[in-house]
Parts: sequence; C-alpha cells; structure tokens
Amino acid sequence: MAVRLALVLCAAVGVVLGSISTSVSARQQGQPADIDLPPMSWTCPMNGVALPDGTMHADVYEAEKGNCPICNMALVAVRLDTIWTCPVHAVVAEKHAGACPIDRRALVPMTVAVSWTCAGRPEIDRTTPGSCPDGSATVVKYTPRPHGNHNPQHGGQFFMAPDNWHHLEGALSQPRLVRIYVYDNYTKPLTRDRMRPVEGRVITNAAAAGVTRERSVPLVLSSDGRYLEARVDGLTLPASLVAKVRLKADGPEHHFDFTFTGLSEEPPPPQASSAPVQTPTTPVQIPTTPAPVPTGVPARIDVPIPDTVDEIVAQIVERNRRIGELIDRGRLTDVWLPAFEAKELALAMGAHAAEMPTYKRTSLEPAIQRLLRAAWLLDGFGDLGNLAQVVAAYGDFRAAVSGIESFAQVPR
Amino acid sequence: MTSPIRRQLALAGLVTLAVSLNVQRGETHKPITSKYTYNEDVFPVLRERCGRCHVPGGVAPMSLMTYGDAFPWGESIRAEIIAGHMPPWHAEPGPVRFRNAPTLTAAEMDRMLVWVSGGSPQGNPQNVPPPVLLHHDWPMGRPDLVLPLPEVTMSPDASETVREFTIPTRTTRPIWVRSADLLPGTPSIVRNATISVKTDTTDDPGRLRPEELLAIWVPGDDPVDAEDGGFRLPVSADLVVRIHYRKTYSYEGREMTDRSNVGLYLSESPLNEIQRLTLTSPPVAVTDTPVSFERTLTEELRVLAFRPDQSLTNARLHVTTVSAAGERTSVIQLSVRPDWTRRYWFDRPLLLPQGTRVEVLAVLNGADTLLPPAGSPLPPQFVDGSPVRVMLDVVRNR
Repeated sequence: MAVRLALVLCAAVGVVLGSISTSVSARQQGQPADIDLPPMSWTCPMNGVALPDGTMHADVYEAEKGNCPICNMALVAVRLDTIWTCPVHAVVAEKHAGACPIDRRALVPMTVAVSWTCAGRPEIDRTTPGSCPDGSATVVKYTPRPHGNHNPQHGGQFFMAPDNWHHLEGALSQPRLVRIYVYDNYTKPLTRDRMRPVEGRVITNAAAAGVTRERSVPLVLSSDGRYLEARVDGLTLPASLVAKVRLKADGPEHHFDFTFTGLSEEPPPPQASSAPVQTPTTPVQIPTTPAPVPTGVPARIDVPIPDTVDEIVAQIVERNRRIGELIDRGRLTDVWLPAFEAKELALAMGAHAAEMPTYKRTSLEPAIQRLLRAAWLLDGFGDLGNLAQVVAAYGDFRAAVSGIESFAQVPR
Repeated sequence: MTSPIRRQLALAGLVTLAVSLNVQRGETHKPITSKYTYNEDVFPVLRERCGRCHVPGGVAPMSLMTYGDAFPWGESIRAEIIAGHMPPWHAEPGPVRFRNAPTLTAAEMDRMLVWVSGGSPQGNPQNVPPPVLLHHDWPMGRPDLVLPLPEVTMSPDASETVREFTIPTRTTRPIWVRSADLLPGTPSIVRNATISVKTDTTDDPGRLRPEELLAIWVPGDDPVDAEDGGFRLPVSADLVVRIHYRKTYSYEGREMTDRSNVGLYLSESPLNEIQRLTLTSPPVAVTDTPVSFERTLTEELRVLAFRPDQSLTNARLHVTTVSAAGERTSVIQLSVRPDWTRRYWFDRPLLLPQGTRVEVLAVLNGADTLLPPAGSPLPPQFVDGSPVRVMLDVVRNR
C-alpha cells in the first residue's frame, strides 16, 4: 500500500506501515508507547547552518535531552527509521522493498525522521503516536535527514564524498558523454555558484596491442551549471572509468570508480499529482571536519526469516548474487542492504544449531562470524565509491557465503 | 600551597575537562538508531570478554567498563572487531576448536557493531552497571609452587623494556608440571612473558624432544591445564622467565615498578611428557613467500597445541594435516601479530596416526616481518634469510 505525500510524508495511522500502526495500537491499549518505535536521539536544530564566524554548525546528536554544546539551543528529539520510497520524485512510504507505483522502478531505502502530527495542525509534531486535540488519531510524518537519501537521481551511480558532506553521481547520459552531478548532504543539487569551484577529470584505460594507455579528459561545467561533463571518445560498453573530482578549490582530489553496463536512464518527469520532498535549508558552507554519517539504519532492517535452514541459505545466496550484480553495475552504494539482510539471515541460522549434526554445528558459528564481518566491511566501503575496496570485501563475503552453503540439507 | 586553593584549582580543572569532554561528545555522537544500549546489552559483553584488560589498572590503554570510558572509543571498537584484531585471538574460525579462545560470538559482535554504528546509547540510567575491579589473582587458584621474581623498575623516561630472569626451583626431586602461570605485580605494565625450563641442549629438527617452554603468558589469558600431558622438570631445575614491559600513555613519565610471581601447578603422579615437534622451512627471504614445508610422522602422536616460533611476529600461517589416505584437514589458520604470539591449545587433542603429513604454508609480510625496528628491546625477531619454524606440542600415545 502506498501513500503519496506532499511536503512531508503524511499517512493516516490506519493505513501506514506495520510497526508504526502496531505502536499506535499498543498505546491506545495502554501499553508503553515506544514498544516498537525507533530509538530516539536529541539533535540541534542548527545542525549544518552557517555560524556568524563563517564556520558551519557541526552535526550534534546526543543521547539525552539538553542544550547544544555549541550554540546552547535546546536539543530536539528525533527518531530515525528506514522507509522504502520511489527512487526520485514522487514519494511513497513502504515498510518493505517493492515497486514504485509511479514508474515501476524498484523502491529504494531512505533514512527519515519519523514523528506524528495531526491533520490540519502542522505545528503539532510529536515523537510518539497518540490522540489529537479533536480526538482523532495522530498521523505519521516522515522528514528527510542528512545522508538519508543515497539514491541516484539521474539513473547513474551515487557515492558519498570522503568529506562526508558532498554526494556525487556519475551518469553515462549519452554514448561517450559522462556527467557528474554533485549534491549536498540532503542530496539536493548544488547551486550554480557552489558548482563553479568544482573541477575534475575522467580517466579511462584503453588496452591496445597489449599496452594499456591512460587517458584523462577534463570535466567541464555545463552552461546551466547543473553538472560537469566530459566527452570520452572511444568509450565502449561496458565501461569502467574513474572520476577524479576536487570539490573545492583548495581541497583534495577524490577518487570515484564507475562501471557502466549501459546508458544511464533518466527517470521520467514527475507526475502532476506528486510533489517533491521538502528539504530543510541547505547549509551554505562545507564542514571542515567529517560529520557522523548515518548511511542506513542497520538496526531497522526488517528481513523476513524463513523457517528452515535450506530456505535461509537460499535467501543468503540470493543476497550474494544481488551484491555481485550491484557491483557489476557499479552501484556500490547499494550493496549495504543485501549485505545486512544476509547478515540478519545468517544470525537467524544460529537458532537452528540444535537441529544440526555435531560436525556441522561446530562449524556454524565460525561461518556466521565470517559472513557478519564481511557484511560490515561491505557496508563501510560501499558508500565511498572505491571499487577495489568493495571488490576485496566482496571476496570475503563470497567466501563466507560458500561456507554458509554447506549447511543446506539439500546440497545446492 | 594551601589545600583549599589546590582544591579550587583541581575543581576548575575538572570543570574545564568536563566541558571539553561534553563538547567532544556532542561532536562525535551519531543519531541514535541502535536497539542495543550500553547498560543493558553492551556492558555485559565487554565485562565478560574484555574486562580482564580494559579495566582501570589493566594492561590495556583504556578502560571500557563504564559508559563514559567506552563511549569515546566506539569507532576504535568497531574497527578492531571488524578487522579481527580484538579480542586478540588471531586464529580464524575453523573446524578445529581451541581452549580458552577469547572470542566474541557472532551475535555479540553484531550487538557491539550495531551499538557503535547506531549512536552508542547508554540505556536506562537505573541500570548503570556496578563498578568492575581489576581481577588480580591466580585464575586457577593458588599454585602448588610460587616463585617470586626480582623487582623491576622502569625509569620515568623508559617506555618499554624486556627483562630476563633465571629462577632456581630448588626442587629435590623431578616434578611434573600441569600448568605454569604468571601473576604480574603491576598488571598495567606487564605486556607478555615466557616461562621456560633452562636447558643447554639445542633443537634437533629431526627428533621429538621434551618441550621446555612451559607457558607463553599474554594478558587476559587463563592458564591451560594440559590434562593429557605435562612438563617434566629435573631436580633443582632453573626457570628462565622473560617479561616484556610496556607503559601505556597513562603512565608515561612515571617511574613504575613490578614484582611478578611465577606459579607452577604440579601433578603428584607422573604425566605423559609433552614433547616438541619442530617443523622447519628452508631459509627464506621475507620478500620471497609464501613458503611451504612439511613433515611426515613416523609414529602415532596426539597433538595438544600449536605455536609459531617466538621470532615470527608478522606472518600468516596455515597448517593442514594430510592422512595416509589423502584426506586433508585444516588445523589452524592464523595471523601472527606482534605482542600476541601465543600457544594455541586444541580443545581436544588431535590424534595423528603414523604416516600423517603435516603441511605448513607461511606467508611473511615482507619488511613488516622484520619489525620492530632496530633498537627496540623486544624479543628476538625474524632474521631475513633464516628458516620459518613452527612447533607442535605432542604426547606419544600410551
């Protein structure tokens, strides 16, 4: 069931997604309200805002209510959760993966703040569900968060820059035409003024007669300032290339690996009935030190666990296949999700240890440990767009999955 | 200086420190998404798995026994767990299990990683765990024979040193040792130690010989009762005890002293004598690996433990047994890391029939194998162009 949202993602309590509506029921029955709610942090409303001294307010998150240690403002409560939404424009909020009802593309995960409001009373914003002044039930509201959306906006491949603030997407828009889009921490495109100091080059390696030649093509800002562009003659699919991008004049040159198996498919234009998600005021200055980055909410991964070991193994193997496919398509930012789903499935295998013969049981825990470590490694490397690191971590992951496969009763 | 003024200055210092810590916390906290909290979920794991060293007065550079202690080290905890560096057990999980392996279960590992990645919440303040004190006693109980070592003083400018002592046992009859242990006098500076029987004989790679290395002590390890065998000490044997001392940053610039004790656990009745089987590679350059070498057993043996030679501190090893029928079993794969060379006791002795081939594959880490740099007081290091040696501690089948 999908709910379209305008400005903020609002949905009636009765029709929204599993855990949230469950929580509401629990409260209405007098049970603790936060039974199944995401944990709560306290954050500064000034996060990412320019300060009078020209610096930017660092991201502040605290475990307890209080005042901001930087600006002394009262911290506000926030609960983060993962929802599944359409990749680009119209907004859909689902609890599980599926297809976007608008363009039939696969839904993508997004980290959002979840809170509760009342119909026609936008000033009401609560961290727990309950009743409105008129006696009606609160409605759930989702608000985008910094780093909550790591999804390509132009059908390309999306990475987070090592400064933990910028994001970057590479797209093969036409044969031999490489475009680089640069975003802020809310995945909002940089303004033309902010794009002007960004510079870079595209590097390809062409092998001919046993000799590999490196070619470097400068990236040029488009006339409308929306992206950088490089025409790479002789580029054939599948294409592997490196973008070296400097995000500010005196900054370091960052390395991003791209693999294109086809042309990047620009999403269809938004429908008239759907509106963009509102993003808070874009910070105007780049932080000098990396801020903490919630790239996903691993604790909120909700993967159905099959009843039998064979089915669990099959699901893990499927996640492994999916990771390989994502890497082949250059979608390194997306590998964390199947990796963490496989991790949850592997951990669930522990409950079946008693059903196994002794010789298998003793090997189960090491196999789960190996997969778990590899999943966290993939999560750590995936966002940064360095193919060599991701491939190395995937090597560990594949080896771990091979070990897990031996626990299937019916040999695969 | 009058004490009230001192108290005021001390208080001012504490306030400044608290403010700066608070700011640091604010800047380093992540949004809280973890369903696990320190008080309820993380502390019990840290206490059980890490509390021997990461405790006030322990050998680790930081305590993790309170929320305030552990919080700033979240990212380090995450990196160390994922890399497999901590807990310090460097044998990879495999079909053969080991005794006293200080490892985390997969579920515990995940709990720690989710906690660190999800903002490291403290949990219910009503559930603040009780203080954890340094456990400073013999883990196996009072030894049958306790041998005090001389006092060692580290001057304020010394950060690391190695001392070797020869200690007479003054026994009037041969004794059988089930286990040997070290009780540091000042646990915060005792980094590792070896306890050996002094002997003049040299190793003959072609033959079994009585094992003179009674124990390799590393912090946090419980001594192992060999059970299936023991070490025979001749009348009035001398022990050679080598201790590696290192100060953590907390003790830099301070004079530190230590007076440790060696403890021996004895058996009244004779035991099956533990012998050493050494496997040696041809001389190898650190840049010219992997190197493989093997040995075929000429008699049936039970293998109690494996250990790399003490000189090897930066390498990867894989030991496999191949039965006469060609069946291969992976016995141990490990990364040998500086400071953490240890003896790996098998959970159950491995019975290797005559004709079993033991294969070793060693990968030296290039120049890193020769670490630490010259001038360090650490134990002898691998010399480029020398053989790689690994040892199996075995007993003959009775």
